[in-house]
Amino acid sequence: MNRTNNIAPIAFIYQNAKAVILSLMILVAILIPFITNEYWERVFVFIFISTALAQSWNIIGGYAGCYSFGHSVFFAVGAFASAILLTKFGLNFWIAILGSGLTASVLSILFFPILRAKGFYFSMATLGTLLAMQVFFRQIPFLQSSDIGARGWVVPSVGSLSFFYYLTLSILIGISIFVFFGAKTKTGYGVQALRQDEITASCMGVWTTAYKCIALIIAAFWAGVIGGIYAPFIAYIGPESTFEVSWTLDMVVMTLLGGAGTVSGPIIGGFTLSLINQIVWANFLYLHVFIYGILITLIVMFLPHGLVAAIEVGVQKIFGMKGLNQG
Amino acid sequence: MEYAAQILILGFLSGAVFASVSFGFSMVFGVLNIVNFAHGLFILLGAFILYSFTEAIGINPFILLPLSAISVGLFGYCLQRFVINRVMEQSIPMVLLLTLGISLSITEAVKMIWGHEEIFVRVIKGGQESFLLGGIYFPWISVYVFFATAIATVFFFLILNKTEMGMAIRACRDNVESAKLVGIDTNRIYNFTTAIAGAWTGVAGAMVVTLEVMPPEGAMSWLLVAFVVTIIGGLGSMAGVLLGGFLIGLVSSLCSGYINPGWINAILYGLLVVMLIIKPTGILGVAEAQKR
Repeated sequence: MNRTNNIAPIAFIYQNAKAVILSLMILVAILIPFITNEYWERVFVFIFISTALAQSWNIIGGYAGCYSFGHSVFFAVGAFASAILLTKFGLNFWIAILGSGLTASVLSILFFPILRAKGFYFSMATLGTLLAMQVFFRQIPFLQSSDIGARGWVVPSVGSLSFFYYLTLSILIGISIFVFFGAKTKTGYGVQALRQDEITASCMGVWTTAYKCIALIIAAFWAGVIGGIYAPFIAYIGPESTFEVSWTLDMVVMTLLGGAGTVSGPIIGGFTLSLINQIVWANFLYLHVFIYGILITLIVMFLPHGLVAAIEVGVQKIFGMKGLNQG
Repeated sequence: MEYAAQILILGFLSGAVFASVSFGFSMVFGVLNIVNFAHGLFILLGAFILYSFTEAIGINPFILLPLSAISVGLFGYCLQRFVINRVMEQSIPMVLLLTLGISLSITEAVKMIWGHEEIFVRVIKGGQESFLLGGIYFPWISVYVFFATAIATVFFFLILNKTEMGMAIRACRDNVESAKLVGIDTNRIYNFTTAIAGAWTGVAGAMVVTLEVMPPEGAMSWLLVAFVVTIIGGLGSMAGVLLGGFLIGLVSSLCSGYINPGWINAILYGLLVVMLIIKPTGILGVAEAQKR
């Protein structure tokens, strides 16, 4: 009789598909520690950390359009800062996390001159900075622990595995919410204008340099916070492991796989890539990097706009509607 | 005083190698306008192929250099034709990522084929390792490599400047649209550009492995050397690469002679960053910084 009432719930779900899927995912994520073993819990902490890093790269790479290949500097500096604050100064864990985020932000000020380089010159300059910083961290005594034979820091754990699970999960959700609402502020629009067309934006009166710097500081802060959590979780950090180029590469590939410049992109890309990684790692250990490289190649060749765009195009083709594009 | 002269001479000799590993990078960069992260792979493959042929045939490695050149050139041709040409319209960072992915995969394949050990090709077996001239030691191998590099450079210069293919390549470098208008098949030119760059770099990589050990992970660090040389010398000009190569040779030699070899990389990357900030086109750079 009353047709509109019958389809109303379905229409509601369809129109808010993203929100519904997201709430379901968060629910599943909260329940995972109760239904799986410690192994998978640990795997998921790593997935949350790398996805959150991808989201932080998304701020500078996806939204501002500056393809930084040295973003893991901030992650590594955050990890070192929290390790030093926790072991040398014996600070509270939460203060140490905040301190590592702030340290990374302060360090990002040194990166401001690099922002003058455009396009892939910026990419290469940031990559060069990353490698130079690694040498720095190897050579400077203050940054090395006093234990003989070890360059890195042994960090005491501050909580159980479940503590880190929920902490990293909430950081991931927090940074995603931050990006979602931040993109809708005036600053957010300014940053996105850079990606579209920097020259036009500056002609329109957008102060491009300031917005680039703001995006970099914020992205660095989040990466530093994640590094600050990573150090006590992994218990040992050194210049070799934290400055590895693969950290940066993971952030870039995850974001591009999902779709740069969208909130859901890094999350979808991060989970997809991490699960593929996990399966490959478990089954073909020696082929791991080989398959990873081929995956990158295939992404660029066949999915240059990311999974989110591909899914949206697919859904539109099947249903002939544009419902998923909204929101 | 003699110590300083010694360091300068060694830096000069190694500068030739630094320049020769970078010509191909500069060429691909100038003509195709992409950053070829697979360039380190050319160096790596050149070294490993020379190693295999020397082990198998057992004659002087310098005679086998053309084999390295041909193999790596073929690899470059296939890479360009079947992979990179398909993504040329995409943005530069995406192409950069693609070549990076290829580099990761093939490095892993190299490890599967040749094992995880680092390799070295010994040219001078026994006998005198160096000779004395005016109070300065000249290592024989560096002198050999210096002259081999010079010959290879002249050879590829002639290809680029005297053959029809070379002229077409230079036309594409100067202006792609005009080259298309006069009937040049740009995709074919791109294939041959990467092939020549691969051959040139393969020879250079083969010469590197006669000087120092080459680990299977060496692709990345040598790629960055090529990038530093190209950026510092100047994009799009061969003279710039020569200048950059000798400068980097001198800087790294001075650094290991007077400061600490551990700092060489930091200084090189620092120079790179400073150069990218103040003058991205390099010392002798004439080309437009960004064509697209």
